Amino acid sequence: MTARAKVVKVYTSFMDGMAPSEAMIEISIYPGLPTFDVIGLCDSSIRESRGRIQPALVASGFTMPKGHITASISPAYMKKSGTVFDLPIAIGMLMASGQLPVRSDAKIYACGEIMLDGTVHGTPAASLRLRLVPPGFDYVFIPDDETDAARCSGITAMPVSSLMDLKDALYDGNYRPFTFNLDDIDEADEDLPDFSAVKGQEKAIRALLIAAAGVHNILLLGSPGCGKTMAGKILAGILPPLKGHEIGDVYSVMEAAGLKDDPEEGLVLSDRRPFRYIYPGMSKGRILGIPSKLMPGELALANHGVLFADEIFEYKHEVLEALRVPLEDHVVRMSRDGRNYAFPASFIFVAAGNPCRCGMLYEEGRRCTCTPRVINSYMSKMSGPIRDRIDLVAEMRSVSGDSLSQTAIKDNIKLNRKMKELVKDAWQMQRERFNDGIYNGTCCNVDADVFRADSKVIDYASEIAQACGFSARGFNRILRVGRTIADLEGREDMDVSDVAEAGIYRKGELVRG
Amino acid sequence: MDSKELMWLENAAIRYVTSMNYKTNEQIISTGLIVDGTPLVMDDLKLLSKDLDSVKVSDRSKEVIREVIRNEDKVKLEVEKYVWMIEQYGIKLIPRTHRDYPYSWKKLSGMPPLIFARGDTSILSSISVNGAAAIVGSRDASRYALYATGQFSAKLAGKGVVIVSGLALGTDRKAHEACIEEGGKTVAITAGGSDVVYPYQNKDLYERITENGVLITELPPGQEVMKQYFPSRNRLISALSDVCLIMEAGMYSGTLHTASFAGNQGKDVFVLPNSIYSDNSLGGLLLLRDGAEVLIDVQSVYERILQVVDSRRADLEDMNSEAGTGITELRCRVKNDPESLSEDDWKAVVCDEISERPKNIDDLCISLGIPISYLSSLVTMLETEGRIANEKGKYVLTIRKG
Repeated sequence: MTARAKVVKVYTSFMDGMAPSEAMIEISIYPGLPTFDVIGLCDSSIRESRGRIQPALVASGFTMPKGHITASISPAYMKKSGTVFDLPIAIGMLMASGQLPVRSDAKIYACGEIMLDGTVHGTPAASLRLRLVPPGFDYVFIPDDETDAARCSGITAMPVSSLMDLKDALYDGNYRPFTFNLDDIDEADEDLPDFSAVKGQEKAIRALLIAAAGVHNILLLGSPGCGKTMAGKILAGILPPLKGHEIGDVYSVMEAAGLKDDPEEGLVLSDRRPFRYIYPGMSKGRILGIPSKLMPGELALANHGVLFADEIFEYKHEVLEALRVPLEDHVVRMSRDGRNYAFPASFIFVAAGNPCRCGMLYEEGRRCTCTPRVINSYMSKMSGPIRDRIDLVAEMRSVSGDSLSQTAIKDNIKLNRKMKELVKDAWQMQRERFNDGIYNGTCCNVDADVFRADSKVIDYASEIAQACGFSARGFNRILRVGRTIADLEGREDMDVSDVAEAGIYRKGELVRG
Repeated sequence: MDSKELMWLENAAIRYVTSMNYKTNEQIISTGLIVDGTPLVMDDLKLLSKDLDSVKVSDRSKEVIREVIRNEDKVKLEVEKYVWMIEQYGIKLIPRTHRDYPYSWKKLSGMPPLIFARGDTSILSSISVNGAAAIVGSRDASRYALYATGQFSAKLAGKGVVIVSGLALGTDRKAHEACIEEGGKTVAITAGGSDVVYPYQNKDLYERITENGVLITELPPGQEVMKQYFPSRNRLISALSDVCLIMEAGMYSGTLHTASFAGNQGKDVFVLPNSIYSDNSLGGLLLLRDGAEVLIDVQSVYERILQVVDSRRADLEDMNSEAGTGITELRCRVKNDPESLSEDDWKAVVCDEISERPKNIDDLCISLGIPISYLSSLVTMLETEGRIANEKGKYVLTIRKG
């Protein structure tokens, strides 16, 4: 037996809700009666690791070290949970007892749950966790079913499937880590939205195109069944595919939220932008997240994608108000135990609602049965600050059955491709204008020089703003949307016609409320 | 001065020099012996007199025709006087066929076939889209009535409504003044020739109106103000307006004439309520008892005007479609050569499209066949210009302001 190291350190990381955290495990083995303690504010899932590790070691051909074994997980002040610590504790014990062919001061990162027969399994929220693996480790081991997660994190690691694999890998020259990346992600199948739902609704289609091209939040108003949800899906569909780290961002959050095991969601690693649907009946925790568990809800899941809020005027006040921060700062903030957390939540907000309580206000033929008072008060449920963050408003109405059937799939594909192309080019123009990740709809302030709007454009925009009686923010909104319209046409300089067109998407009806 | 205008003047001269009046005039025209739409002149009458017995008019009319022919020299002299004065004072002639001739007068009988005007005559035709309110009241109005007159006049003028009054002292004066100060449009209808300033205290206002508004009269130039002309003038005031606001009227006030004319012409009468102890308000209060509306706020008056203008819009469009070959031609070009249309042309087409009924922008897009992006900018421009408005998701024509 080699000289006994007093203390061996193994590194890992764990999830605190959706916030990953680094951890270090110290293992010490002292002579004495055999005991095995795991300490450091562990819950029973960690303490039970003792029961898993012992048989696993034996089954893999190791011996259980004799003596007082103490595994201390730090930071010890944080409550910890999960089975991710199994593998690092086992490795620490083997190193401390000299059963592994490795120096005791080697810097090792490991994570994973151990089965009684010594096989290693992945644990939830792997990709967020693996993102915390800093460079500088001599050895990085991950369970081999966490490779998708590893791709998202872009780490260099060696997947192992059992404790035996691990032992082999530590022999000289056998450690062959693999650098994971997202380079060869399969392009998602063309997700073909059904344009027939918005056929004949030119304004809505144009508004969706503008919203996608400039990352503008949009409000769709129309009767039940006029195609609002489909319009939201179209919007998600014409956005350029996720690229680079965004794929990982999306995947890791979805995985952390447990969608991997959800048969309905069927999470796969892809470059498709998320489309998250929320409705007023959803629990507050599901939409906004649960701070005590550090679990952000649908808002965080919609990151880099589209958040579709159905029946926007029916939400509880507190839920609607809580949307303000994500809409402004593009993060979901949570605080717990005096610590603040921010989860990225940058999405295009698509709100959909009925224009009045019965929903028939814009319909041809069918009569709206609401009193003027109800009509006025219905839309005013949406408070000013939320309204202010919506750049586009488009009215929709149902299209009669016969024109619905006329849309050929061929036309759908053509229209979808054309819109995708336009959005892609517009994004390229904005990438040159701003830093990456900032678009016309999300940039902080409107600068006439950056937007390349001359005084004629500015004057006209303020004329429109004045005619509709809205504030400086309304003026900015018109300029932003106008800028996107110019981008869609590939023009560097803004034109009066751009702001004029933008004027039509302002919230005509809402001003009244 | 062209021959047509001379003919109109001759007709006016006949009417004022001899005992020929509108009634006889119309009776002769309605026989069909004279081309409708042209003024009745001396030559026509001479032609008629050759075979007067076979003309189917009343004996009195026949007598009038003979009288006119006897007075031919007098008429000629009168016409010369008119021509001289018209040139001297820059008076404009607006016959019934003129495009500025008030639309609402065409619908009523007994309206003058020829108006003498000074100032911006386009205000008269603008009434059909902007609406007009008559504001009348007694000459020695109370401070309360004057204050209310100023308020209502200015606020209505601010909404684009044309203010019509009679250029008298007191209420009339206040109504005109407040309107002009608000930058609104005002029409003064006088009971004398266009060159006659009456009352002389209003000389300053007379000049301001000729600059900022329009001053009209049915009486030929040089005609002195006479007592019997006032009720006749009052009927023109109410006929030109969509609503009639009575600010103050005593028991035997001429204002009551205006109110009763308004009632007969189917216009709404609003009366400013006043104290029962005040000398000058009894006439108004009696009107209220008889069912006139109480004048409380500008909004209700304005809404009433909008209703009238709305109902007139349909009529107007029929008229425009007859007169407006422009839009038909544009429509043609939309079909055949859409490239050739300018921005203003497109705007006109959009307005025409929604004039039939309110339309959703998607419907517009489909029926006009232009891209939504271009249509959107047109619609916004029309909206900022105040020509159309969005109501319940559809676009409608507005009542134009300014």
